[in-house]
Amino acid sequence: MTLADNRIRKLVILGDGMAAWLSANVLAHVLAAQQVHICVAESGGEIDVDTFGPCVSTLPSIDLMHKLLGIDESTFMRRTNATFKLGTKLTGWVKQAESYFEPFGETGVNFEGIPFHHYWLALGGKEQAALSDYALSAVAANLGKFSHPLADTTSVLSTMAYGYHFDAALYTQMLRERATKHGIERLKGELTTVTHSDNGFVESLVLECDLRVPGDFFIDCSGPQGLLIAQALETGFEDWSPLLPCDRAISVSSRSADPLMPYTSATARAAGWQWRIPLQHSTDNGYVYSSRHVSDQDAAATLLANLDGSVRGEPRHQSFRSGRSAKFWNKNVVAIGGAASGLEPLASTGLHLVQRSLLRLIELFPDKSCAAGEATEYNRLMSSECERMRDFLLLHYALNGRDSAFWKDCRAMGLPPLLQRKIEHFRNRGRVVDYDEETFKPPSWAAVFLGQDVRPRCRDPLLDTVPPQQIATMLLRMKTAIRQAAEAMPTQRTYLAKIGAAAPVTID
Amino acid sequence: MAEPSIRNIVIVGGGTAGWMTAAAVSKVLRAGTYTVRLIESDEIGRVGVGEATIPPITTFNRILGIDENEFLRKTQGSIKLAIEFVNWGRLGQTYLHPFGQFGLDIEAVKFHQYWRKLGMLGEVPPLDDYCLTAMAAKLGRFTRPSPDPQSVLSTLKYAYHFDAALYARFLRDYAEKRGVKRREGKVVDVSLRGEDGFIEAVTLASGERIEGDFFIDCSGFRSLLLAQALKTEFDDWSHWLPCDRAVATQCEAGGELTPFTRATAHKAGWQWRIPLQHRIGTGYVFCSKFISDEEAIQTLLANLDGPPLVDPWLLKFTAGRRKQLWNKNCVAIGLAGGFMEPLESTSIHLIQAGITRLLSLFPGAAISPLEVDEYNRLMISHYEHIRDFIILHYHATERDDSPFWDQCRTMTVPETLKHKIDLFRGCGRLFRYEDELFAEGSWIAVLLGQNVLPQAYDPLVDAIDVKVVRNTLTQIRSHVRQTVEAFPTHRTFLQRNCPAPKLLVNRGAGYVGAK
Repeated sequence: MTLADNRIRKLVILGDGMAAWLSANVLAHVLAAQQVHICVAESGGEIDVDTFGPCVSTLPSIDLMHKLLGIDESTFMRRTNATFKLGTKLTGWVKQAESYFEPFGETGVNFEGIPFHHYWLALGGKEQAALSDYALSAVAANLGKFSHPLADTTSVLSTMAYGYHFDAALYTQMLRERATKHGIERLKGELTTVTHSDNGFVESLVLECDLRVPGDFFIDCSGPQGLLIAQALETGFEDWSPLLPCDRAISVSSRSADPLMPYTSATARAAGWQWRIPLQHSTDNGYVYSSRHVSDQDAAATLLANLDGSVRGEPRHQSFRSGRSAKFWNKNVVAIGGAASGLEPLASTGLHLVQRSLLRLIELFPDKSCAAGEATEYNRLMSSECERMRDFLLLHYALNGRDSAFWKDCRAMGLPPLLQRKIEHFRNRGRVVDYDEETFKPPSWAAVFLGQDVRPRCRDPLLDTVPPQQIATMLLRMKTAIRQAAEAMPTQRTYLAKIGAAAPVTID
Repeated sequence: MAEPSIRNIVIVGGGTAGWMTAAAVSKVLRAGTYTVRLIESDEIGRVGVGEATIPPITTFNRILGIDENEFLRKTQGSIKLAIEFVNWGRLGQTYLHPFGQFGLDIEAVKFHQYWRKLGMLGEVPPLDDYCLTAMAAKLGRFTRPSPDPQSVLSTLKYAYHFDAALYARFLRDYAEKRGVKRREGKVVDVSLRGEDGFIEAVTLASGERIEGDFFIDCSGFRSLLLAQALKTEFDDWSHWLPCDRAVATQCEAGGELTPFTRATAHKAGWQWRIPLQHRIGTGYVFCSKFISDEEAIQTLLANLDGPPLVDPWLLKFTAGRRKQLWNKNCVAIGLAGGFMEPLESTSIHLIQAGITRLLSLFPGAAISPLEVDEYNRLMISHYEHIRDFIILHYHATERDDSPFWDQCRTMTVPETLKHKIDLFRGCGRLFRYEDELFAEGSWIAVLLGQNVLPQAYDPLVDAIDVKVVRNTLTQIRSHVRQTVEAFPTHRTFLQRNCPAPKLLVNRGAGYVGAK
């Protein structure tokens, strides 16, 4: 076989944001023994092409990537002003001032194979505790506490899971340093031209100063503009703005407030929602809104009126478009990050998608010809994954209980059939339909359904075989154990100092 | 919340499907809340061909709390570790489809990719040598797997061969102890409710009328409720799976008690061989377009291990499934819902899959179209994944020695299957759909066993020095072999743990076929 001759020898990553540098690190690590030359062409100059605002809120999965790369947690947290994240608190989505929590990790226990939320529902009005009172992550988060979960699955402390909040620019800088130390070539300059070979594959990038960068395979991390995928290859875009009407974001940093809460807040506003991401020495705030429903000035006023610390710096405006590239992998180009898809940060999926794209690309890593059906399979898997994620976002909007024009419009939207079916199933009997390639597993969906006040019409008949008194006793015992475990944890700030992850105070 | 109005469950038909359903329902929906009745007639024969199983059956038995030794004793059962396929890819070629995985993934790259690379370098150690289950099957040995995930012994996966009639009898005792009421009699009429066409009652030949809220059709090929009473249409797959008949028989057991099923491809179909403790079950599945019943019987009788115990009986069928497996207040479990030839031993598994999905969607206060649709969606995708896997066996062949194989080799296959084959042929990649029954190892065994060789291997394989790959593979191979050589033989295992009583098998007293 002449296979070796056709191996990819030169891989070019276009972009200078988080997606570009994460891709560079991961691919360099995996392809280490293969003598693949990896080069990052830093075109653009917008550091945050892959994020909304200057900060990132992640899902627990990022830990896996850090372990793969051997990134030490305390060092990473210290360098990026990072905090732990145990979930998201959603306020005002159903009724003004009412909150619910979407925790990471487990909620309750599935006895006899019946999902926990059915037991919680079975208690009906007799039990005042929220569903999240049975999730250690949520209880600890609300107390501002944190300690690492334990591996011992018999301990309640094993039921937690966590992600992070961190500064995107500092994180990108850390990744860039790490990559250049591992021998990745770094080129700077605006992209001027893309040359193609006869079969339409991208052959090289030409940067300003006539620097020509040839490659066998290209990764487009140039953000929403999609310099390669959208512009050079004219792949096309699937527009989701009829489903997700928000198209603008305004963000601003404020002084950090104590206690340092280990969760992201997402608070519904008149024409969208506001995030609050606490870092060690500052808080990141932003308002994601629909420009058809509110002006930029009014959005700015709303944001500034809803901060819990004094403003640091100027607010920044940003537009975005919800949707995805018609193909993520086209010819010899794979789009990752903002070039692949645009999804608002409500479910903190941005970095997770970058990571999933990289893992899928590694599983399907091609040779120069890209002719073994890899692209078709990659696109099939990634588009399902992206769409299931979109549906999860949509669910929050579809089930809202607010009165303004924006929210009424959201309720009136036609939903994708797979999501429609999911909602009907939950309304009927509290069952969560689970499709292929779901990022969010049934307990997360159940947390949103129940948090947004959907109550099933009837109970699971299998539950009839468990006596109600037994359920009540079991849940009370569980709730108490969780509460005690959470109270015994240190505060997040104390814990960060203890593990050597406290970031030095910056002076503004 | 409203009181559930589904209280009265009627199962029509005994046999494996009926009694598996009754046993599971009696365990999960506890007595007192539900009334469960099962109607069967001793006059109606069983199909009795699905006697080989796949590993999920061990879960089913475990949920019911069945003691494995007792079960094997009472059903004349034996252990199944694999299926041996003879003459499928080419005449004279044999391969194993074992349960469980091949080798170990190295640095997150699949084992078969390393194996392929060595193959391309000219060294071709058989893939079976790296799979504990396959090695045990080859050497005719067995011991129970270890619960310790660190031990290589934990990778051993197994299922059973058993006498389906004895299994049904065993489960009948189980279900009756838990309150299921058996009614002897033949169903002669089904009455539907005027307003919505739901089944209201069935009438027996004795004139007795049995009413119910929910009906489970386990009447086999007749599909008394789902097809006949509710007129549920059939989705015909015979253009992909052209075999439409089988002749089955039983013969005396020969010398070796193999811990695997054998499937031997013949001129116009294939023959199964299922070894039990007291006899061997065997049959020829064929396509009537290419050979006559007589020729099929002759082929079958010419390929027996020992003297036949019963006269061969004939079964007729069409591959496919009902367009709905749940229609109104009736769910069909087993052959009443659909049929796929038992090439991958999925008949009993499909019964189990139907039962577990039904229980997880069991109707509460009323039957909601949502649950009905969801059940159908899940079952249909389950059926289709299995269908694709079975079609693969027929399609991925180089045989050109008969018109039957010419047709199979050149037919158009479903898009989903074509996609899988293409992806594998390219670079040995496989993806499993979440709901898919057969895992990666199964697809690899059949694809490679039938000569679908990837043109290239995963480029990431080159990240590891070929010497290291070679050493690792050698180590795995010798470890697998040493582990298996310490096992007792299959027969010794059965004799020590679960010897079945010697049954007097009456010649001519076999089962009758379906009409």
